[in-house]
Amino acid sequence: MREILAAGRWLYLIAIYAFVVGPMLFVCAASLNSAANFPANFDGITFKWYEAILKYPEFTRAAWVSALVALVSSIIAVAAAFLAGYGMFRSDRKESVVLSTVLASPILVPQIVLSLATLQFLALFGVSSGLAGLVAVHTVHSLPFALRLVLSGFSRYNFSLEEASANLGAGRLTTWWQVTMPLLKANLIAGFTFCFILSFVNLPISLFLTDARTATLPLVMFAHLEARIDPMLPAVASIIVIAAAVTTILLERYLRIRLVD
Amino acid sequence: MSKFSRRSVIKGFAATTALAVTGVGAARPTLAAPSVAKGTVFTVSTWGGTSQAAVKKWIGEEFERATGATLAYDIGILGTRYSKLIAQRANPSADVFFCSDEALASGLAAGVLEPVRKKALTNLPEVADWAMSVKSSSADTVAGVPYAMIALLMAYNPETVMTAPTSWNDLWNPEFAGKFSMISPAHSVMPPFLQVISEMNGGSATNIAPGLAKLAQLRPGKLHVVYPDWAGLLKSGEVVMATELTSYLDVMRSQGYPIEYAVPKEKGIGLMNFVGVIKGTKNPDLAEYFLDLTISQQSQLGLASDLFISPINAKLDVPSDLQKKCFCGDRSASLRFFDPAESAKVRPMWTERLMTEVVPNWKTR
Amino acid sequence: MKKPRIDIAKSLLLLPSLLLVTVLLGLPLVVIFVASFQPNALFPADRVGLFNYGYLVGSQYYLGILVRTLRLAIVGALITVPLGYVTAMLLQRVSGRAANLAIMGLTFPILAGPLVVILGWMALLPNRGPIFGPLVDAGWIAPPDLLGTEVAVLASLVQFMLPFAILTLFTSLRQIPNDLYEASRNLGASALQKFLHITLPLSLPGVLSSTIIVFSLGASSYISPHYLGGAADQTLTTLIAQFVLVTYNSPMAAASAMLLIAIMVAVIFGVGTAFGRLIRP
Repeated sequence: MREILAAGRWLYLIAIYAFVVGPMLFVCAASLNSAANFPANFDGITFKWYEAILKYPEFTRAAWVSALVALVSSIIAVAAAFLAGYGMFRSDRKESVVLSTVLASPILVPQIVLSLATLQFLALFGVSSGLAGLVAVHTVHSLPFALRLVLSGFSRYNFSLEEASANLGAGRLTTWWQVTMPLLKANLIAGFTFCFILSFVNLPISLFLTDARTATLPLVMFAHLEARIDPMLPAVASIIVIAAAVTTILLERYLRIRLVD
Repeated sequence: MSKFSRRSVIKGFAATTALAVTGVGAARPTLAAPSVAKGTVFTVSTWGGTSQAAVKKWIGEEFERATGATLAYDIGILGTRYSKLIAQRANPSADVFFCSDEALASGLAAGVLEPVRKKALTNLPEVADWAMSVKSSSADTVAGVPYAMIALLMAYNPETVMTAPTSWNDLWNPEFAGKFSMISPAHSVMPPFLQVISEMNGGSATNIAPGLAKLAQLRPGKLHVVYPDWAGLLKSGEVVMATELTSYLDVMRSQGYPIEYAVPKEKGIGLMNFVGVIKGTKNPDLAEYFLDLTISQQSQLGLASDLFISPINAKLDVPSDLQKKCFCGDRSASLRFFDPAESAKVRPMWTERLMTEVVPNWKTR
Repeated sequence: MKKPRIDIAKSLLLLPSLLLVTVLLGLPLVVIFVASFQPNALFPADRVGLFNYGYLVGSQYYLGILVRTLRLAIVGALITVPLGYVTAMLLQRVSGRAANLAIMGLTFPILAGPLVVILGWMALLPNRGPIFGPLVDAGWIAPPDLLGTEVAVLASLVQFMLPFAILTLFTSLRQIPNDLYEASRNLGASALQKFLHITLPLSLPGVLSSTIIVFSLGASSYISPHYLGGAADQTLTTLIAQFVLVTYNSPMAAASAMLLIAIMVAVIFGVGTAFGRLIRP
């Protein structure tokens, strides 16, 4: 009975992973296919699509822009969420429904409309599309997700630790750095990861807020795809996935930063 | 900031006139390129991917070499770029705008694009008559310059479709029911198409009811805006026929898809893509030079071969290998052209009627 | 009676997030709100009014779109959350490095980009594609005709939403203190009892969070319905995209957006209240 249950568990996990990761693996495999179009029957292994990327500096440039925007917006979003959660729980010891709802409202606005409206709004002040506007919109869009993950950590946080820390002579910032954040490490990292991923792959929010110098990677890929199905796109996707895998492993091994403990 | 001096313009003007008078029609534009301050950035708003690559190669390189300015590209689909244009009219972030003929007409009407002085375009006399479909309001300007001609035709898989379609009416052929990919009402060529179908059924441009009724009887298998939407289905055999633009069809052929095109006896629908000058550009002289370069024979030849589009320069001798490769070359006789300004006007309402009255009948599954 | 002090510390702490939301969401929202009453190509009136809303709500076609959007989002959430819950529970047994890689691995498809993954679905789902082709040829199944159906859209939505659900639920389940389980074991509780009386109740806030997140993702999804959906099957998001990018009709797009927002608020509020009663009976 036990073995059947154990086998059942494994089967379930494998099925779920196959479903979630399968289509992506298929696409990554296609990036090595030497056939001229995609999808196609397997024709032979080649790296020519990866080489082709080098001819398009737009992709590398856009990847940097996307990573930068994702990094900055996620840090700000998580920081703002941390402060908000701290503020909410410190005095009331529970989540304020009204405040949470207000701060989570960005999730409700259709992104494409938010992007256009933000562009029009910024244009009223003569602010043209640029990196600042892009980061700002990504931040506000990430906030609900950061908040959700951080708040659930605060609901388990023991605030008497704060008193103890103060009694031992620690200032606010020291307490945050040495007590609060380590205890909430899982939530903060999960929140950051969530936000980073969402921002990095986001297309609609960035749609109207980029200019010649600030095109994000999803935008460049989308613009590329419109004209041609290119096996180069699966190659770009594969590179992102490999980079993510390598980063995860490195962060875990050398900085002991784990998404989960 | 570009140093735009009257002297350089007059010099250029004089050079052009002199050369025009002596009748030297060189392959390279002979307008003296405006020289600008080092580090001037000239921004081109255009489609991404292969479009951007072709513009870079066949216009951009020469442009940078001749003027010393640096090119930057704002890429995206037309919808986003046009919306940005409107929203940023007070402070535009680009200088020239690649778009469809309809968008050019709309942009001029909306005041975000501006006409170009004929005198500044030395290669203008070489542009084919049928290509200047968007008209400017004054006699000494043009709305913009066309740079490509593409056509909507029918395409079919020669391996599975034995008799090629010969008329738009073949779309209603039961043989193709559920097995062809139809252009979506969101497609820019829909208004002319609807007009054609209306006329074929007793209607006209002002009476589209017969067209709508006829289209409601269609049984497409898929709707598409661009070819990636349906190319996979062609491969798997679920789609054997499509209404599609020649530029995409030629891309597909070059990628090895089994596809042939059929020109309907009612004529295919011809469209032009244009480049326009954005109102308020900080580099008007560079913009004029860019447009002039775009319609030169050399650029036209390069663009045609890379992007599978028909060149609009009537003086250009399209080499036979290029003619074999695509629908390029002057096939204007087998095509019908429409007024983009009219299309732009009716498009919102027609799209709405198509979406609400016709498409619900196209429930494909 | 003493007037309550304004908690300065609390206000300062909340200021960054509130400022972000007010300036970058609230103000653009005002722009959208105002735009939704403007005349446009479909209603060339000379004054503002409710005609855009009237048109959308009064048309059977648009109500159908609304219903379809809701259906996809709700069914998607109903499928994703339980699947994710079970996965998150099973992953609790995996520890340390393996768990870390396992969770991160789930996020890779999203990182690859929804656009690219959709290409994968478009390649895998056709009747003669790699999955169904052999099955149909062998005569085991009839051609399933999945491309263009809501089933295809739902499948890709669930695939997109699962990692988010699993991550949220995993974090929530992780935080249930182990001593509770030990204590219950000492008291002789069975696995089922442990689940019903410890795991389930204490994970309800996480379930609520993931339901809301997943529902929102589903309701605002564009790529799945656009590429995998049927020609005649628009959702509110694809409709909005059409108004913005094709017919350049900002007022209609704005009105549709306000409707979508209203629906999402209604559903989330309803779900939140229902859960609230469960969490604090």
